[in-house]
Amino acid sequence: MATREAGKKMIMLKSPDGMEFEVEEAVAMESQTIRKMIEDDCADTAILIPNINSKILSRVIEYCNKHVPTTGATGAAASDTVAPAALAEDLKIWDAEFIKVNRATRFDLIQAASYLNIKGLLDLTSQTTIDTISDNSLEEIRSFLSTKNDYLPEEEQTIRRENQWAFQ
Amino acid sequence: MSHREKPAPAAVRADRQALAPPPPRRVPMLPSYWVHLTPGGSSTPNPRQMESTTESSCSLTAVGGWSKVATDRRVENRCAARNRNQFEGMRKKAVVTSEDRISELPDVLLHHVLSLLPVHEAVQTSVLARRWRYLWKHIPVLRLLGPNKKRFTSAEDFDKFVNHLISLRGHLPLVSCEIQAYPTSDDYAGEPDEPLPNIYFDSWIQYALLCKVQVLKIIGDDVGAETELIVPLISQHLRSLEVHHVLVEKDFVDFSSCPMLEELKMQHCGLWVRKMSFPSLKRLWLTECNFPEAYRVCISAPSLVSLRLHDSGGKTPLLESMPLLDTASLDLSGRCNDKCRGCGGDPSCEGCHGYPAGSYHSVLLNTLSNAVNLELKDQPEVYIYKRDLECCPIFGRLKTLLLDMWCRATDLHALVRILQHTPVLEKLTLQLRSDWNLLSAARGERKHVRIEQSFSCVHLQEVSIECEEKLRVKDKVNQIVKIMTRNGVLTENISFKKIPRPEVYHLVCVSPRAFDPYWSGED
Repeated sequence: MATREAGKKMIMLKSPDGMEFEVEEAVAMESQTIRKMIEDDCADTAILIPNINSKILSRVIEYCNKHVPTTGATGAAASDTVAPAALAEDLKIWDAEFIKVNRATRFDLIQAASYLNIKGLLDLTSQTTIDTISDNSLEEIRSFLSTKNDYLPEEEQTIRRENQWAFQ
Repeated sequence: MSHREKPAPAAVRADRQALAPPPPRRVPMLPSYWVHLTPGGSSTPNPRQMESTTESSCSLTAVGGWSKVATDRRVENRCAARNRNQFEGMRKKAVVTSEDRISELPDVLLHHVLSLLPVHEAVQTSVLARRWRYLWKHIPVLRLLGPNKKRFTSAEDFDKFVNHLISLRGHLPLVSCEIQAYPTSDDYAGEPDEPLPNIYFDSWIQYALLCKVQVLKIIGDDVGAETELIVPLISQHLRSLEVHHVLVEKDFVDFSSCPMLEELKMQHCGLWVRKMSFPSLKRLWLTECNFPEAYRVCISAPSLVSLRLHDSGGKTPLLESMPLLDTASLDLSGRCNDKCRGCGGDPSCEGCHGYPAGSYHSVLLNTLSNAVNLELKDQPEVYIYKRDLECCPIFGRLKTLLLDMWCRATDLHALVRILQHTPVLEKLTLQLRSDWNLLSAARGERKHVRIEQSFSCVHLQEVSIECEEKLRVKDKVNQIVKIMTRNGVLTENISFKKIPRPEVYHLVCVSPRAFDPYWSGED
């Protein structure tokens, strides 16, 4: 495993389209899937991340880089100082900027976050999707999600009748 | 992060791959749906491109049909849908080329996305398309947080909706559930009585437990009547429980019927009990909870790793042995009842006369003696730490300690006393605070107190002294630095920091008499 300055362990992540990303171990371990691999000693060589192309993978690494805890967690329950709150606010702004991507990229990110098991990223991407559809009419939701209605008209009527209790 | 294009030509790459050991354990770790999506295994180029070329033409045409909405296409679509159902496992691949990107997500992920919607909107997605018809039933998260004003005209309306949902949902497993006891009638006009509590509160909790819920959050009613927790919590699956605004009035609270329960958070709860027992619990948070004023509640949590006890009212609970405890944060300020402001000779005052013989030697500190990280905060009149220190054990594993100190001479004595019992301490944080009545009380004190005792903390590498803004305690800070250096702490290891003054100090206005009953009205 490549070791760079200051004893920081580096991990090589490979995307299936042949790109390699050298990241700090701590950053890679934001992903629970990769963490498990490292802890189980499966990560001696570069880790191949199947199904996540380099464009998405680089975005994911960008997210992990930002969200990796800056100081080594001291363990003590967080004391009520201002710094963490300001930091959290910072991250929120950063997240909002980060997720300004087109729909296709966002769905790719959801899948990547799920596969790599990065809870923060999964929540961020899912929440953004939900924000676009909440409080909208069904037709609007369909168009936001680009979901095609494959019900026959009479079928849709039946389902609406069945679920009368849910619509009103 | 550095990121570069792979420079090696194909031959070298092949070589390197041959040398590299195969990753045999990697594949089973992938979630099953992912394996479906990656037929080529590790050397797949772009999976999307690959799938679009190898996919069965039948599915592809089916998907291609979606792009035009025309009635004559509907029949064809229906066939396609049937085809899609036949290819259960391939369904996700089948839609890759279409515009319908969200349906490409596997069910598990769609459940996750849907779980973020308000429950009534999640149910409505059933009419989006076939794929969505029953998705809502499988959402593993249920949040029953009272009627949304836009959608439900009354609380009864919401009750009806939820009960309908529950009956259709059946006992499909739940991972997480939140249940709030909102008042049934939200109209106070002309009603002298408090609104009635939600009658379904208990049965919904029971429903969640029946669905093998793992993470449960119960929120009592903080507007109307107090919500009492009556349902017995018995579950083989419950891992984490959070309880707000709930009243518990039993003699003995026993969680041995929840063998998987690892995490419990209670906030704004009234715990009128004698004893609480949590055999499996690892993390316990009690914030702003009320305990009885007449006696100490006994808490038994032998597996506990992390404890947080903040701002509780009444008598501080008595902690039984916690040999595995690692981190604890205790804040005995606010409404804590263990205060002595000069009791005038009351023989039962623990602050003046010590703990009653034969009952307990220590309320908290003995139990915390295994901790690695500790935060101790209190108010000047609270005597628990001071009394506990009398039979103080050695904190043999303690590495980081945060003390919230009030600027008095006795605090310096207590500080030295604690440091005599922390042989492996590495990091010490001292937060210096004061408030109005304390400043006036400290005024009478001599500026320098003679501290004779010494301590030895050879591992102490970092001392951080954090001072509230606008607090004039230069003398005290100097004295702390002196004590530290005299006991072998290097000056360069001591750092200083300003911390903001909590706003509450400005709001609380207590007469000096509250602190000193013999105060004569002169400064």
